[in-house]
Amino acid sequence: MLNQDEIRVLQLKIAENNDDHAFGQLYMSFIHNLQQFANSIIKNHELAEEIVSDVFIKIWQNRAKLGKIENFRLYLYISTKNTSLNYLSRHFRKKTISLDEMALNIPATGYNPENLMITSEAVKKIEFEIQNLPLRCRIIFKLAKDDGLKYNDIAKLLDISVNTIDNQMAIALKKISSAINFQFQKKPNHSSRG
Amino acid sequence: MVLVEFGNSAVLIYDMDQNNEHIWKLMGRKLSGDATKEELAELEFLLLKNPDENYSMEILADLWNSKPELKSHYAENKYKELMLHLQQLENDESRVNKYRLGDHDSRPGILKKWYLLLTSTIIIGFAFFFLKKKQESSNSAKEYVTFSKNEINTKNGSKTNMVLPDGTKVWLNAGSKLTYDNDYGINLREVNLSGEAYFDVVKNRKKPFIIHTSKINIKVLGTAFNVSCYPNEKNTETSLVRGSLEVTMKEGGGKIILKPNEKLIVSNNRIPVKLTPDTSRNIFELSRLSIMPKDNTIVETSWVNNKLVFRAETFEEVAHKMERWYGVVIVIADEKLKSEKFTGIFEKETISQALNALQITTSFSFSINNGNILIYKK
Repeated sequence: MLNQDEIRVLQLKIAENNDDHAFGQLYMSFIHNLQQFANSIIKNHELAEEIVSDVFIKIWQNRAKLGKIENFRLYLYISTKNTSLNYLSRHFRKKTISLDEMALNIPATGYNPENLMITSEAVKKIEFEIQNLPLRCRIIFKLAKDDGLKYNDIAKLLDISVNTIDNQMAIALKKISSAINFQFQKKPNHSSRG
Repeated sequence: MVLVEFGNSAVLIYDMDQNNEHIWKLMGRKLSGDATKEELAELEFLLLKNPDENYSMEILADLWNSKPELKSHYAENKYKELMLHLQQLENDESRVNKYRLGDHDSRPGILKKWYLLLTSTIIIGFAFFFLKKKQESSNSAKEYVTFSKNEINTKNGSKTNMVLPDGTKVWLNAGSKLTYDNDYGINLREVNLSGEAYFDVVKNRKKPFIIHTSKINIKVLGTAFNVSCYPNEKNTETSLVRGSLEVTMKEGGGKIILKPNEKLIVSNNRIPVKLTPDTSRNIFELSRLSIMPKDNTIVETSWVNNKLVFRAETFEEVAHKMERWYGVVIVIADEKLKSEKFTGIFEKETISQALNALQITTSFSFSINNGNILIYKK
């Protein structure tokens, strides 16, 4: 995932030098997450692909003004959301979507238990907990973890309070850690690790 | 109850049970990078007092940093598609702008140079910017798309294959042209073909796949077949490998349904007006696909597998095929030689090796000069 500074550099390269290589880097690093996000609203993979293409076409066409965007990551997500809502109103005559209708799935991460020093059984349980988090909890957790959005960004994007995010994140982390601690019911010798 | 000290001034009292939620909130903030210095210090203290949560925090941090594996191949392909799309949009745009503002380059980099050179261009530049803005707000990208066409050309001596937006595979033989609108697949799946192509069409009952050639239209639902419609050849041939397809004659409007292993040959020459309906039969002919007995190669589609195959075809027909295959020009300077018949398969042979092979059954001489080949009687 690109960090804030890397994104800023790419933004300026595109705006000032018409750098299509930088544009490609930006596109390729965001395409998956933005498609997943669009898909959570539109619930159609092909349309989600189209939406993300549309977002980037607009970005390239307006590239001269790109340097002025301060929080580019958030800008991409908001553009994706707005484009998705446009599609919704055009195709399904639906203008808004509530947070509880957004089904954002978290792709299996393929955590390597060896890297994490936990049992593979626990990893399975963790994956299960993540996939089965309550809907709004899952969206918030995913946007914070996989998409690298800050609490303030998520609040603006989903039109919710930071307080809600705090609470939902607490729920998610508690559930996941119950899966982490599950292994000790079978393996009481965990105290031997470092 | 726990006493929390910050430096030597602040003293806080925590009830661990009541503040259980609090530790998770702080963990979330730490992981997402949202925690303030104070919050981090607070969390550190709380974790010291709660070894179980401390362990969870370590694992959670590891989990947090292991990101899902992304299919970079997919992203790369998507990026290439996007760039092609953008190129097309820009071509369309510059065409529109040229029409409106005369010969003026639309790239901002070049615009900048003009600013420095000519004041008059500054005015045009502003006008252009204004128009572009207006244009952008009134036309969505989608509307542009419907106007632009995709065109794939192959020169003689080269072949290509591609996947259309719906997943349909197309192999385009030498000296051919395939075009389709950018809204391909949205309502209809239509392509125009000149030359020869093999199609493996993805099934979609709602959206039939239609090929337009100069003589016929071919409608299919999902199948594999070969179409050869070179303008300089005598016939348009449609060869069906599997599935079924419907051919409509552009002249007369007759319809023919093909079954697997059938081939429809339609004459490319205009039907003489004096022909009566019952003789119109002669403009097309239904036959079986030609199979080479040796290895069951289907002659009609062999080029897809990089084989140049001909079966009992005249030297003139073979020469046309070789011209496209090798990207050469062949002149047969003898009427009798033109109707000599050949059967054979070429794969990796060079043009002169191929001609040498033909010489085994028929006596002729040839000279090769810069891709121009003259064939004459010995």
